[in-house]
Amino acid sequence: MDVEVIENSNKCARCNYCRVCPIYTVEGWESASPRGKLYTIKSLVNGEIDVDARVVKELFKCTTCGSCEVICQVEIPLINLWENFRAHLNSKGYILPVHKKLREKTFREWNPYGESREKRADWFKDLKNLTSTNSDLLYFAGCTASYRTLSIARDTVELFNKTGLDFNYAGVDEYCCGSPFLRTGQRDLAQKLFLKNYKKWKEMGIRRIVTSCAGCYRTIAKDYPKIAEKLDYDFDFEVLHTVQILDEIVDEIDFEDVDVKATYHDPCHLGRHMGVYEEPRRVIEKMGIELIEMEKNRENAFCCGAGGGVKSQFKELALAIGELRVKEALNTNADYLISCCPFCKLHISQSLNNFDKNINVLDIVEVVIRTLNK
Amino acid sequence: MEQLKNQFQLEVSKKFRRFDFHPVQRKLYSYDLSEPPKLLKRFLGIADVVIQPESKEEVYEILKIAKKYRMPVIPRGSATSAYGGVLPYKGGIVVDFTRLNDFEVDEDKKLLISGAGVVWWDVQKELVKRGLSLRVYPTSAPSSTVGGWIGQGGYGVGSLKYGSIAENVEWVEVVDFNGIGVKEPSKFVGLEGTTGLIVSAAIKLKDYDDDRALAFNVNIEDSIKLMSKSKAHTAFFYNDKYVELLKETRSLKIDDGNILLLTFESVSNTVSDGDEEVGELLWQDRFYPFRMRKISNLICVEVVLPIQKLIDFSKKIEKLPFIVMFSKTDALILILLTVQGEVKYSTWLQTMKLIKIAEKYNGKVYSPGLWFSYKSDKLLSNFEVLRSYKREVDEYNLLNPGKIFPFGPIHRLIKLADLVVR
Repeated sequence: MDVEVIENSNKCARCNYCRVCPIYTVEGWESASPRGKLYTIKSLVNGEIDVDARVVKELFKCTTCGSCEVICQVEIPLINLWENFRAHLNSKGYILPVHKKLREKTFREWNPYGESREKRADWFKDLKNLTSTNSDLLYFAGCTASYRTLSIARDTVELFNKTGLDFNYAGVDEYCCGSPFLRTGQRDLAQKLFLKNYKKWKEMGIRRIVTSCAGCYRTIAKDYPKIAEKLDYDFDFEVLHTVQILDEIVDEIDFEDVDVKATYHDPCHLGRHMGVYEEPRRVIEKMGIELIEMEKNRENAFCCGAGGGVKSQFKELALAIGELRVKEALNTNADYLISCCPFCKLHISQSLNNFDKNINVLDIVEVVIRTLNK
Repeated sequence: MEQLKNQFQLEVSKKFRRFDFHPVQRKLYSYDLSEPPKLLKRFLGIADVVIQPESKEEVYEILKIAKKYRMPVIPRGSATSAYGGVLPYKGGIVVDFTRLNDFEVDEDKKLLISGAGVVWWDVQKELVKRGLSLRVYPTSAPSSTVGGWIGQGGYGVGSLKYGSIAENVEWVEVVDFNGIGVKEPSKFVGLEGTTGLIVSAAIKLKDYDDDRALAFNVNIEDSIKLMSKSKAHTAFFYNDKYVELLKETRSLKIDDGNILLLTFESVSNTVSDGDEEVGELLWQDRFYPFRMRKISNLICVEVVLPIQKLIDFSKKIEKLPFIVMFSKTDALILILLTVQGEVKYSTWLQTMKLIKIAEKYNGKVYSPGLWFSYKSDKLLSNFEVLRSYKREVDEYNLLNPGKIFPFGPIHRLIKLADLVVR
């Protein structure tokens, strides 16, 4: 096992400040808390306890949101630790059933939803004329925007077009970035996906990649360079999230006057993982929207509950976390909940189902398109 | 025996919604912040079951079952103490109080009526919205619970002006084998649940006022003078060795040397020549004493002694990093010891040596808990009264056995070690 995992799990001061963890907030058992998980790992390493199905399940109850890492007094790099330990469990054959299914689906269709690879670019059929095959800027829609929240992808390319931004798109040759597999310890599959995307991008002459998805952004910007280094590949792409481009061009966009209030949900992979907090807020304010912060925001933002393989394997738990985030958003009395991640949008929208009160959940690009001066 | 165990499990399963018999969960509810050496670990049991009661009535049901099966009952909040108070030393039912987390505020009487599982800093945030504030809270407030600190006892932020937690509890609601009732707190604060399980408490509040923190580069003698004539609610003294560590681990831009931190309610602040920037940095850092652990494993030794003995005692420990938290009459000193590798028996002997030095200056260990229960008769002035009350309410010694009131081999082993330490 990774020596760092062992050393870091021993560092835990057991102060329990990591009780901010969304899983622990909902489940309330020590086994669900980061402190408890570290003690479990320590006990496993010392041979004091045995691995069984329950222990494995508890260790996978983590959205890898990183709120524990932010609060940790001894600054343990917890996101890496959880992913490394999950990779270790995988290497010993411990894989949860739904995560295994995602793996199988991805090997078949190159996306974890198991949707037909041939249909990946269906959202783009009537927008093909907007691309420029000469552009070295690639739009990477990601699996969720390609198959579930199509309007985000459509609005993004429409926005690029309206603002005169040339871009290219890989169509059915865009493959899952591998984020769900890196987060759940299935590194072999993530590496395979890296290779497929990388090859295509090189063929297309891509230099810059922009994505709508916070998870894809973290993976391509932070994990791909590490995989490339391991394989001795050059990784000379500039990687951006759509909101970073928006932040650069927002001053040149002509917006309608609007009289709405919005709150902003920081996606964990964009915020805590990549430090992008102010760009979306600047864009929202430039649109003339009144921004009302939720109580937990920026690096203390509460996770939506979907990441880290939790939504797929532990549906009810993911929804319970999502509902807590929705409650916080509803408490602001805002008209809109804006985010920068198709997966957060999808999950928060589903978490709203059990509430009487409503709030419009939109991606920031969708809001921009709706407020453009026609 | 097996049949009895099955019967117990069946009864727990029928009566409670939230319980867990899984061996890993039981292990996870069998630690606190202390790092006992292997020699002592051998004598420590683990929980037989963990139950999370959702009402005081459920707590009473737990006691009924405990009595029926002669099972120890160990109350647990966030387990952020290091005295072994929440360790299920002899096995038994660990009662996790975190679900008793409702509270209400009597704004007229300025009282917080809080469930035992409420986390101090969570409730403080709500109080501030109503223009009120806790008078005292522990330095582990972001995670520690109301019941946990009351059970543990001791000093915290605000204690210079408002005293210990004992002085800030109006009443406690307690469950024992006779039922549920509101009691006067003196037989329960600092007693680790050995005389009854605290399910709720009334805590004294004050009007909210912004805190203003000021730092002074002064030695311990001047710190005592400055602190005594100030109207601060909180005073911390950091010795130069501690400041060195702070700078190394936190990249704080502060001068070398000793520092006194005084924090005032802004209305009562009459001092103006301290350093506000450093004061604010240290004040923000008050909840994070463990940040030091990122550079090496550290253990903390906590002793309390009268303020007038502090100067002499501090000379004995000047080579070690330490912080002093002042109360009205006492100084709580937190001394840091660096540990290479795992905590060994010799580390504990070092700890005990420091306690012994403090005792020469009328000092004492901060809390008896499990590890120092053999000192309880000297630590608690009304020990005999408490012991007779314990016998009265806990015929079979099931309420957190081994804590406060010595029981079993551990206190004997540590007492033996105490005898050899010089």
